[in-house]
Amino acid sequence: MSGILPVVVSNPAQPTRGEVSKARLERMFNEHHDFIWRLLRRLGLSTGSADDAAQHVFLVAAERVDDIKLGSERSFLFGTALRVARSQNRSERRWVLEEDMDFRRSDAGRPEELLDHQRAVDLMGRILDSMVLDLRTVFVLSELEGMTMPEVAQLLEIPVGTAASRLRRAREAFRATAAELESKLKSGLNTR
Amino acid sequence: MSDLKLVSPDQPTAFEQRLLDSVANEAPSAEQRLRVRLALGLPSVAPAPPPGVAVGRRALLLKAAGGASIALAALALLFAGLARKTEPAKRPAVPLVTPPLATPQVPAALPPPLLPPEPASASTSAVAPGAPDDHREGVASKRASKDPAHVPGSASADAPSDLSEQLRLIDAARSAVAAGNASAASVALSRYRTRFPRGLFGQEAAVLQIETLDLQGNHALAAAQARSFLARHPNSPHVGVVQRIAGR
Repeated sequence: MSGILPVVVSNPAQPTRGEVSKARLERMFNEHHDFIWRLLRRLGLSTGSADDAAQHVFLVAAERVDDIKLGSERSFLFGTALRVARSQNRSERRWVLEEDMDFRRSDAGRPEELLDHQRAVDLMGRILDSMVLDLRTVFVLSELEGMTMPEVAQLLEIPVGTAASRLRRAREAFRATAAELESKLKSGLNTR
Repeated sequence: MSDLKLVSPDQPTAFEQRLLDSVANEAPSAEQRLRVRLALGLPSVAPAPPPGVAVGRRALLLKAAGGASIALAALALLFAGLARKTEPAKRPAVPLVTPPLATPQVPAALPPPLLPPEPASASTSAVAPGAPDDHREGVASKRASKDPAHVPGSASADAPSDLSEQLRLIDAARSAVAAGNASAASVALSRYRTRFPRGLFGQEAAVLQIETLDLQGNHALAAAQARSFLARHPNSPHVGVVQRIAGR
């Protein structure tokens, strides 16, 4: 022992670990909060539930921010959001549509013009609800978020080919259901 | 984007496009962003998120002016209200720092609470230990922001200036709790409940009250209120911190 004690001098200009974590958390919030919220909505949560669930996701991130690998922030938030969405009460459905939905409400001529915004949102929800979660997730990320296949594959931690296959099937399901709904709209138009 | 060619999509029909477009512009409300920021202990005032982040690529491509624009406009309005309330020429430039509710982090050097204790009224503004807390919690508070028919506690409780005042009081309470100053937290929470009995941050106020009781050493009552809170809000984002107190 030399008798010299090590002296640790903290640099006041150096951010503390807590400050670094907080800054990282803020970046995560700024960059990903809206994406997470939209994802939760498109996975079937109501607006209020998506609000709570998004907050829950970020509280989990706050508790584990120091454990999240750098560069994996979005992946962590995404995985947490998927788990939160799955755990939501399934009786609470975002898309409430009556089976005998009135397809003749609009005066417009073409089916796409028959849809007011809210009805289009509801129909889109019905289509998404009809998909299994794996297909739905890929469809949302690709078609609605505009992500590339490698991005989708990376986020879901699946091969690109698998992601592409799921997207193909999801698109087929989307088109089949959309065609059915369009047909109903047209037939409603013809019976007026 | 060229990778999408892997699956060789056909062009969507006009009807399909209309369906896809209908959900492309959804975005969380300005209040929602603020709630999460508060819960995370992030400064209440933040720059608007970059457009590419806020609305998503597809919405950007569509150049739509739907919900995201409305939300951003509301955010700008809210911040304008905050700026008016803050009056930087008269107040010290202390950011509204809000330590996290659910994260048991060691508080860094926090600024003092924005609200100094009021000796004359401190006794009346302390947290009432037996006070029922049903009237001020999240369901009502969420309704306050989303139900147009809802009549809030004050005549214009959802106006930006009132929102900024709500934020200021909750921030003050949270800072006080983080600094271990139970009396200052009580003052801020009492003011919040008096001015905004059905305020936007009712659930946060309820959690802060539980933490304040715990801080005051009133562990039994804090635990009882925590259990009551959990029974009413089993899916609350604040469940973590409340459960810890309930278990004591």
